[in-house]
Amino acid sequence: MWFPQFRRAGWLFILLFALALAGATVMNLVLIGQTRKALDEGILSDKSPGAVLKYHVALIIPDSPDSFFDGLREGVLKTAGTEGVAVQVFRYHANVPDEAETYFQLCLTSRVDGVILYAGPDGQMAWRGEQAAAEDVVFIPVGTLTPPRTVLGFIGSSSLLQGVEGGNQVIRRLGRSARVGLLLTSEGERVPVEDPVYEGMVIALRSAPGAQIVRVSRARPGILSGEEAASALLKADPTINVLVCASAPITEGAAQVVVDQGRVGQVLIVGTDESPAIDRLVDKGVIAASIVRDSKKMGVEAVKAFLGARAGTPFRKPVEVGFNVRTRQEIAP
Amino acid sequence: MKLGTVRGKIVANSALILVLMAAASLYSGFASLELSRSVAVLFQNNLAMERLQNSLDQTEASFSEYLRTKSSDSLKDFIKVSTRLTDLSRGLNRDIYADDILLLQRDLFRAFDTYLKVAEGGVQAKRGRDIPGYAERFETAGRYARSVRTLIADLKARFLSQSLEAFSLYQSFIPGVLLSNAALVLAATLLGFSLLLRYSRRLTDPLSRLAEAALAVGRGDYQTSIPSLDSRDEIGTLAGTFSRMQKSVRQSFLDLHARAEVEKTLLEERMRVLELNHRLKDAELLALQTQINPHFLFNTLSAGIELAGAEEAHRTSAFLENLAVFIRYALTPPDRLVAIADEIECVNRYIWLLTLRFRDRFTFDVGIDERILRFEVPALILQPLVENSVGHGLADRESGGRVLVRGSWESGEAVLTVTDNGVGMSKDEIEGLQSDTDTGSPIHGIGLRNVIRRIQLSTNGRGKVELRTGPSGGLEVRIRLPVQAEGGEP
Repeated sequence: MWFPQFRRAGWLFILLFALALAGATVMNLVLIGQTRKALDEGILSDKSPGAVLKYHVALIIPDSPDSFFDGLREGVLKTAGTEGVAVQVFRYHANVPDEAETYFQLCLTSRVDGVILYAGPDGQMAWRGEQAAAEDVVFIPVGTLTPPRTVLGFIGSSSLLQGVEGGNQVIRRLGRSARVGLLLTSEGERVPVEDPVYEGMVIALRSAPGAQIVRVSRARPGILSGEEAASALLKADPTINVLVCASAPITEGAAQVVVDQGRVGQVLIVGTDESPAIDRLVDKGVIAASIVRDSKKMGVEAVKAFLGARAGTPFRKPVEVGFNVRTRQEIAP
Repeated sequence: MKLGTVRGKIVANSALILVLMAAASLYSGFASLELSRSVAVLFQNNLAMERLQNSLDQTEASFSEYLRTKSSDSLKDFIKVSTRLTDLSRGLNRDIYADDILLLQRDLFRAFDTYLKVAEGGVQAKRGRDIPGYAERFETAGRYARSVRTLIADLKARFLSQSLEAFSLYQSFIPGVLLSNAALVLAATLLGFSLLLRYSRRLTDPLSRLAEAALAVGRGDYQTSIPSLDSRDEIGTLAGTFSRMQKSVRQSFLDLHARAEVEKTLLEERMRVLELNHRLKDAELLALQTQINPHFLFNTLSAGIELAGAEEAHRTSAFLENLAVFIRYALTPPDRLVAIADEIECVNRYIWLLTLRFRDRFTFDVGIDERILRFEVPALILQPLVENSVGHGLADRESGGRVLVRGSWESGEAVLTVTDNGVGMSKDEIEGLQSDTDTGSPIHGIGLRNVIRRIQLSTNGRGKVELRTGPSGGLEVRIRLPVQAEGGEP
């Protein structure tokens, strides 16, 4: 028997399932729409790439956690963004310098408008400049090691000066009793005594007889390598009472070792560059001072030099962007 | 095919459900297709890079082949593949944007351009037999090709990374899409099933109700109500026809019943007529028993009248004449109809004869409304009553006996009344006579019973004879005769 209440229930079921069908369809459509949107935003990007810019510049830098390169990149991008320059960043493995050459050649093949290349200690800056000029590509080398021979357009923060300032910071704090352990980067194949940082340190320590570099070590890029090198250094010579570090990752690694060994205050650290971690360690007194190379300014100057070259202004002598010293007093609000 | 028919409804409902399921399936298929297309889209850029890579390989191979063989075929092949490479590279971005991938595409486009120019220069040098020239260009082209491959690899890696990132996001939506797809199909199935139930019941419910009604009618319950169906399909038609058939059968039964009732009444009437005829025969037999040879008596009286006339006995002659007329009237068949006037004349003659016999012992008074004189009544209905009054009611009365005969018109009836002031009749006797039962006084009741029966017979029971005690204590016999006269009035 088909009672009225069952008839109403039948209609209710039909209504319920019709609503469920509509809901599922709408949900399906929404999900597919979101899927398409996800693809659109990823692969099928229809979003406007922005205005067409005037110049195409390639920035070739090591793929390093060193904040120096972050600053350099930031400086380039910031200036390029305001000057109508599109920057293409190529990062090569720090331990595989040939990759830099590959990217350099690639840029020449593509005939970009300019190349800003972090110049390692391989002494090929002049040769590359000639190659670039042959392809009508503006070549701007940047780096911390002044090229052995003058390279027009070089923009850098001299490692020699960095070493001198580091030595000054050591003498200011420990005077003649300074027993320095020096942690250098692994760039190049020079012996440590030929490293500009080492040379600068030596120059500075001359003003405080008795103060001396007792150990020198090189660390590969990375905080862990810095830790390993610092630990080995302190173990090899427990009399070391100051560690001078040539890069930001080495500085952070060395600070971690000193903290772990409970020797904060006994072993001073004079670091390099800045990062949030370094700033925090400086603020805590683990790092006495950090020689901050102005890599950002280096990037700014590099773009300016490129624009000048494009405008026909001849390159000047190498540009030294300088540095500043970051201490607890500076960081404190 | 009409939609209003059961077949049409079944087809329409089935079509609705099929369309619903088909739509759900199609949509589900569309969603799956869209998803698979999306996956294909994910890697389309990598596929484009792969095509460029292949084209570059072919161009490089044909370039080498030409430099090696300098054949026209290899030249044609080089032109063909290099043209294709040029065409393919035109799909790359050539403008400067602040976007890494677009800049890489620009690098690639320009690198292809550089490579092709060097390669074409190499071909030209080969054709010009400039060996150092094509050797240098071959080497340079190789270097550029490596740069191009580096760029392609970089772009591939970036596209792949981009694709994987997008795929990761895309993949996060897949369970939801599949779930909603399943929910969609499930909801469509349940909706289809609900519609199926709803419409099947809608179709079969009237049939079920009709079947129940048919079963009830089959059991003989013609009063059961047939469901009224608004549908115009075959079921509606069937229900309407069945309802009409039920009404028709019920009406036939009522007609049969009514006819049986009529036949029953008719049969009872016939039985009553038979009974009355039977009683009439009895009355006639009784009358015959009481008759003497009327012709002999009448002829004798006629001879007496002539004898009295010859002897000038006028009073005797008048007596015999009245007696003869009376007897002749009395000898007429009792079932004949006579005018009331004739009946009154008979009574008057009878009274004349009685007066002659009893002189002043009884007085008679006859008063008749003239309007009823022409009405016909059974013969000899008044004379027996007067005779009954004189012979029974007033028999023991030596003087002062009085008999009143009245005729009047009352409400469509001719009313004849014979009243005496005699001894009357007991209540039981009156009831016995009126109920036509034997009272045990045949002499006293013969005349009256005879009159009562003949009145009933002649009027088919509509005429009435009422007996009651008169105003002076005697008997009053009132005969009510319905008369059929034009206009209802005499």
